[in-house]
Amino acid sequence: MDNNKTVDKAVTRIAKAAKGAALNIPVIPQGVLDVSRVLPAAVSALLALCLCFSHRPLAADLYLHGFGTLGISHSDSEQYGWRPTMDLDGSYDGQWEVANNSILGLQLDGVFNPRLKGSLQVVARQRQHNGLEDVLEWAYLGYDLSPGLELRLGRMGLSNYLLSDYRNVRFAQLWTHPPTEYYGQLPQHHSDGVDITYSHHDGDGLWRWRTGMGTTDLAFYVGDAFPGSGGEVDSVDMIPGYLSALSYETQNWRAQISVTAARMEEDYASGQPLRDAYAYLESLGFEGAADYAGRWETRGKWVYYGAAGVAYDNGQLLVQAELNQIDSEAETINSSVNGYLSVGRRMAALTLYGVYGYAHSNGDASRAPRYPVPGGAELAVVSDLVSVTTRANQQTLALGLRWDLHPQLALKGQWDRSWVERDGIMLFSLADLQQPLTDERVDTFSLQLDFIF
Amino acid sequence: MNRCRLLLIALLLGSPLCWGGGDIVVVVNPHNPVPALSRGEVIDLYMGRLRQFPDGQGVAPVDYVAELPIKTAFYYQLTRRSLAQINAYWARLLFNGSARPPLQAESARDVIKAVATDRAAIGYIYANEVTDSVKVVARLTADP
Repeated sequence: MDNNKTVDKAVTRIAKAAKGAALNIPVIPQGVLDVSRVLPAAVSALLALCLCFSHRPLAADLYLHGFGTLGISHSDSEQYGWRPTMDLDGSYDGQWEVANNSILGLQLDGVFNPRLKGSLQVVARQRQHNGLEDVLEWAYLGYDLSPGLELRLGRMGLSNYLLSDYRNVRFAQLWTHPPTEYYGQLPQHHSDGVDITYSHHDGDGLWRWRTGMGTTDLAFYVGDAFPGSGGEVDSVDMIPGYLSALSYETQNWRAQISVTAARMEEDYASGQPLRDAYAYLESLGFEGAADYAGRWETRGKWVYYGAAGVAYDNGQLLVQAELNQIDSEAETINSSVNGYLSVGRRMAALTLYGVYGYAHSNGDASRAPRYPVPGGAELAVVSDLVSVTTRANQQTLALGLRWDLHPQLALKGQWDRSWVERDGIMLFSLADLQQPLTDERVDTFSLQLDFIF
Repeated sequence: MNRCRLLLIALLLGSPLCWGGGDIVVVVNPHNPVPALSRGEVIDLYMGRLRQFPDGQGVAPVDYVAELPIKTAFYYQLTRRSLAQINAYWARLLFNGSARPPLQAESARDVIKAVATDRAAIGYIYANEVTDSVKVVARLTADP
């Protein structure tokens, strides 16, 4: 009887989490925001900001630069919440989302002597915590060991994908947001460690090889009801992470290949109730229950990322594609193949573009055994749900327009149509986990101003 | 109303179509041994891909503040890209830590002064602004 109660309790806790209580992010109800009034005021203010700042030094060899995005998006699904990355809660039908689409960054660069330099970058964006440690995107020192050979130490951006170390800088990108199928699965923004970069110009273009190691964390949004997760976002440290990336760049072409390996140092706290429930079932004599729960263990397991990307831009035609393969020893980080293709055509200050994104997790979603105990069926349902929320099976077709209003200010609008399969919903958040999942088509519209100064 | 229309047309077209002033020349310090630079070398020097002159010495490009028409003309002649495109490119390099954009001067006089006093400096001015204190290493001919 007591045993049954324990399983019931675990299931109840899990089911409570499954209700997916909403994250307390600013959401503007439909109709409250008058875009026609706000937009001209925002454009004027940002133009003034762009004109006030330029690339002049603050003091001798000290430079301040900044970037930002003021954005809004609307998604039409009541069940699947659209989000740029999986560490954020999504927005649902009836909500105009601002916080997930708005960013402000400042970067201070110092040149201390001809060989030694340093960079500090702070970024305000939607995240669970906004303490100094969280907003500090970069803080590193770089030393030129010889011409073309640089050693960096500290907190640095990731270099594994074409956009990964400047994806917050939307002005430098064609779209309103990096393709979700590819970058939505990369919540990591920086790494604490060391790297070394070798650069060589061969007469036609620049070769760059970077290798390094460091610590990062892998976070995803789980809602605010998971006991022990510490809040809405659960994360684990990835130590050590090894990266090696080779890139080549000419005036019109840019290509990069990279491999990354990272070992997770702990288990996700949010998976503990499930592990406890299955461990208890094992102790009741249900053989294999604990093994089944092992799929949610991440401690000591490795994740490998292989990626290739190419970009072409001749001033009028812009083509970019990336493809990666993720191999993981833990089911929580599903092995998958993901990619996108983007094509844009520039006409004076306007650029019309289209993007196709693809994410596919390997194998089938697992189906949990149904144990004949009170709460056993519910436990299986929740386990199956966790399985599909750690997989991504979806495609997106997006169309957008970028309008360069000023050399430092761009207005963008983008429409994304995503086809989400019910056995791989990781890139979307869920409004109600009690509802049966279905394949769904989700339309998302984004409008934003990107600027640099 | 007409002013609004003109502003709208200018915004839609972007800025590369409006400049004047004739040929632009790329200049270095007279003591710099480099005799001439190819168009590709000038592009790579100003786009942050080449950090040294062909003879191996370090380079310090000097640019203009964004408001000056010569900057728009220079980059359009060189790369067929607008300043917004150039800024988007540099935003990538700057905010991913790869490179820092060239220092910005207020006028041709400032560029000449910087190039005349720094052996590593490289700048660009209109051909009719060349003085004895700089050496011309490349010429970009204005479109007819």
